[in-house]
Amino acid sequence: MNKKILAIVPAYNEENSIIGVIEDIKRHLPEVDVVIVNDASTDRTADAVKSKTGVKLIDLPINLGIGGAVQTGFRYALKGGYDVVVQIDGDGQHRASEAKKMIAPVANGEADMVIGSRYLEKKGFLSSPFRRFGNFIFRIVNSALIGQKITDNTSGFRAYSKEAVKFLTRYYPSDYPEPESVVLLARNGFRIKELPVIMQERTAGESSITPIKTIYYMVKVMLAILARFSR
Amino acid sequence: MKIEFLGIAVSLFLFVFIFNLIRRQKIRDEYSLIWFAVALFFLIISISRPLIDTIAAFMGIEYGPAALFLILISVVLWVLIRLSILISEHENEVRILIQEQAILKQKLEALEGNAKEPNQNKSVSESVSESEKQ
Repeated sequence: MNKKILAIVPAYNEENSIIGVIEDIKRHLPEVDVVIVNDASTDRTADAVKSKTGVKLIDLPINLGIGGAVQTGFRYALKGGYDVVVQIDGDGQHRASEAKKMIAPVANGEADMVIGSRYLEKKGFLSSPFRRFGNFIFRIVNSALIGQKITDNTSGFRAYSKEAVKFLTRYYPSDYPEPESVVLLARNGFRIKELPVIMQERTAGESSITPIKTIYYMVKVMLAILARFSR
Repeated sequence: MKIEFLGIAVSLFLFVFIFNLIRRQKIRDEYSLIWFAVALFFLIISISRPLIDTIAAFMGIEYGPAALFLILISVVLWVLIRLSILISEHENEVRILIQEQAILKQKLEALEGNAKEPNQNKSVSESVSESEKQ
């Protein structure tokens, strides 16, 4: 594989986990360029990243939310002419050792987006019951809308092709972008593939999504999904 | 009779206020025009009482002021939706600017780092204490 690959790591207040994530990527994906997008963290995430060599740090001056942070990475990848982009979250949930098999289908031109799914083999950390219910709803709705079974619509562990990155640089939802982008990409003719992965419980920090927010996002994302579908 | 004077006074004030905003370039022409039209409408309505009754009759509403409210609420709603669209557009533009700025800053710092090789890699404690000094 002599493809140019970029790992995008969005990070918001991940001072305790970010170094572990960087080391994990460096160990398992040494040929991959790494860019950390610090989404205006209020802790010392940026300093932690600066202490590591061989990674690039993009410091957002204003908090853009997960979507805006990842899109910054897409923009960077587009400028740098990368062939494959893999998103690995800064909280330590995603293992770099699993990313390799996700990159392969994109590098071989078999898929435009590969989603690392927790639910294909149901191993490892599967998220709280409440959020699993949300996931269940997205699975039903999204799979029906795009006519392809997608088991893990909220997974942020994804690999993208150059074409998908170019497309998403133009439009990518601000917050809670994952389920919406599945429908968005599918409706625009991009090929999606799912592969089983094992995720870990976050190593440090707190998830940015509380139960009440989850309901709000469910409604909001459903609306966005329908909007993308009926475009 | 009193209410008509009050109406004229308020509309005149609105008219002058908005005219002033345009004159001092506080609002963009596109939006000033909308508010200008609203102020003008107010003024005409308050000067000519029968006019609103005619409009109401035309709309099939018996009570004149009810028609006035309906028209005003519709206009205000329309302006608010226009403003929501504008804010969304601005948000999008600002987001692109933030992203481009952050990427450029990264590239600039990488160039500066290459220029003075020796102190390229700072330890965490150094950069932390530096940020605390600021």
